[in-house]
Amino acid sequence: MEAWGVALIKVVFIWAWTLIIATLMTWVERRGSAMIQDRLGPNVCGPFGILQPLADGIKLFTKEDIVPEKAKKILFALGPIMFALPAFSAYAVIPFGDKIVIGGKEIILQVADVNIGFLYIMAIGAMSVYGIVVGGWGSNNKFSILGGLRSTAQLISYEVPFGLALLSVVIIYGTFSLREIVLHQQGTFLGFLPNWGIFKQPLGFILFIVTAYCEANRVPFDLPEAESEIVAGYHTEYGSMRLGLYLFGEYVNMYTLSALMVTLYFGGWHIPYIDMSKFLGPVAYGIASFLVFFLKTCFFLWLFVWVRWTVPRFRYDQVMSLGWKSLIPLALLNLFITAFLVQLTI
Amino acid sequence: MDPYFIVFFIMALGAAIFMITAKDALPSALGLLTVFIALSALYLHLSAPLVAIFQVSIYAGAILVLIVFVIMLLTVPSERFQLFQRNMSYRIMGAVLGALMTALLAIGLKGVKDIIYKREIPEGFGHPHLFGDFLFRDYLLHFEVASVLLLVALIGAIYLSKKKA
Amino acid sequence: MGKPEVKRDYTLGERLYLVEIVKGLGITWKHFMKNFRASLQKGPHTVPTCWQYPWDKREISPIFRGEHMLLLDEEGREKCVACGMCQRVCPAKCITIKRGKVKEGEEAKYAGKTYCASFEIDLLRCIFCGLCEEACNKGAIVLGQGYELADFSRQACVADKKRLIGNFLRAKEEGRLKPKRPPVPVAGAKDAKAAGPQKAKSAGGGQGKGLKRGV
Repeated sequence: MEAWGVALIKVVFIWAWTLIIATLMTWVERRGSAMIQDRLGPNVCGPFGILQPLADGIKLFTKEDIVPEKAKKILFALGPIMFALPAFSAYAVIPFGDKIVIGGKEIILQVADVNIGFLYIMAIGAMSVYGIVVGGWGSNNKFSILGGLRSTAQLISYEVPFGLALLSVVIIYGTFSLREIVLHQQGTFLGFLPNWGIFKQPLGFILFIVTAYCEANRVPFDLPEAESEIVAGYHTEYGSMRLGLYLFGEYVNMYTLSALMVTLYFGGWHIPYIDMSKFLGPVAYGIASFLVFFLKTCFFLWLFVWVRWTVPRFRYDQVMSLGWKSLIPLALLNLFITAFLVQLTI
Repeated sequence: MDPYFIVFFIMALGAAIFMITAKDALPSALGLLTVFIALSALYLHLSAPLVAIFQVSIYAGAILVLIVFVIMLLTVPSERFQLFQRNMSYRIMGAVLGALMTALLAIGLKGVKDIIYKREIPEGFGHPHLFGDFLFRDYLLHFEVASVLLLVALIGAIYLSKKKA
Repeated sequence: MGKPEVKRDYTLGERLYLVEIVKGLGITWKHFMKNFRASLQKGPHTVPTCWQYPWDKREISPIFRGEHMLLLDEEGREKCVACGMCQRVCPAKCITIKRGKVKEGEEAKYAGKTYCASFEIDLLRCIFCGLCEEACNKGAIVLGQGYELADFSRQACVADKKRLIGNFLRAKEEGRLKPKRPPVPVAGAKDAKAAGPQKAKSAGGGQGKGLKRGV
């Protein structure tokens, strides 16, 4: 029974934490993107506009909820839920820190250390397609259906290089479990580089980051919600908290993918060259590892915002040709090279 | 018959009945999605996490997405399944085949008691390592034949969809 | 004219696109750092390309047609005699006037023999065309420089006489009154007056006292 209690606490903590991060991300996005565009973002609510997400949240909750007359009511209501739920639950297998000792018990900072690790995230990521499709279809609006179609095609095309890039990681570390992958990334590689995944898999990292941007429906792949082309794509007809769920789900997706990038390629909670557990107490070590992981994830979240305002949106045929004609051959090449090199060293 | 099984059994059954009686195409596909997820949960209950994940990511995440893609490309939201089979001989044949299928299922269920009993799960059951061992050592030929089959299907699909030059 | 020839010989670095992305990231980082440092400084106008509205306002031209003002003359008497010309000429029909006769003891407040007991302009209907200003014989209504007219209810956007005179007093204090412009001399206007009313219609221009026989 104790294990259930601990797991429940971790689940609640993760859920609250991702909600807070998604809220803060709205502020970071607005302010960061404004400063890139030579203007200031919200600066009226609170110092540096930090209370702006609160104002936005209140606005979204109190707006009138408009459902189009000819929309399929149940599908319309189901869309945002089907989008946000997988986004939140994909975070369950990510190790956001090392062990922490509370009350004499060692607790690993991961909700579920399953031996199938990131296959779970891939499966759940495939589920988020349904949220977009159902939302677009249920709106009974041509632009929404177009947005849903584009998103479906894009997401399933880019799942293949996503899986292949992750497969190369599995070949190197020999396990699916994310916690073990992070544990393997201690120490140094070739004597002076930290033993992080990116030094062993540079091509794999580039593939992964490109496909992660596609999975998160972010620029340059944000055709499904292209703001200037198809009004707002699949969330055209949504207002108030339904739209809030779509936007939140998008930010939580971004957060999960950034956390995955840090876990697989940037050493999780390890600081290069320094082993923190040697000189910190158990509780402090747990908190420190959590903070290190969080800071690295923050950099990747900022990278999402940064790239959004740097790169123009790709055209649909460019997206498809990039996925099928460039990324899949590169991913296969990466797989072969990795398998070859692993065979040579074993 | 523990509560976990009963919950997901009811979910799967209800979703399957919804799927075959729904009049709109997309809610029917969503019913199929629910069936897949319920089945995946049942696999998880049988200590086969890898099969559960395969079910979700391959069936629900790729095949069903393609089915939904086709539905979205070829239909409009207001289209409903309205066709009612008028041919009498088809209806009789359908009833006979349905009865035969039910009889087959009943006979199969009768013998299921022989293979269901409590047993000890060996160490590492359902672990991906074991899966890899089985696939690439004991069942290597089956694996390769399946991949050749997929390749044949792929080539056939590409050929069929090419425009006549 | 054929299509313009666009050279599509990209170098390998450009085709790879990653290099270009990194270069782009450098440019946006420079912008970000510049604006980040500007945002940390105190004071309103810190980012040069961004006007932060309530603190930085643009200069309004003196002949801007904004919220109306009812003028007082040099002795502080209301100029408006409630003749109703502005009400008649208004294309949006937003002015409502009630005329009242000036009583015995109140001659110090009003310039003429009649005064406007109530003068309401519905700012939500007004199109700020300035025809009321042109139609007024006494030069009593003038369009000023107020443009922040949003409010929370429809009733609050109906400007009554108190508000309009208040606008005038505030503008006079801040020195934002329009100087009187002489009417623009129109070629042939003197002949048109002598020739008769038909030609007077074609003599446009001028403001205030210039346009007598208007629409």
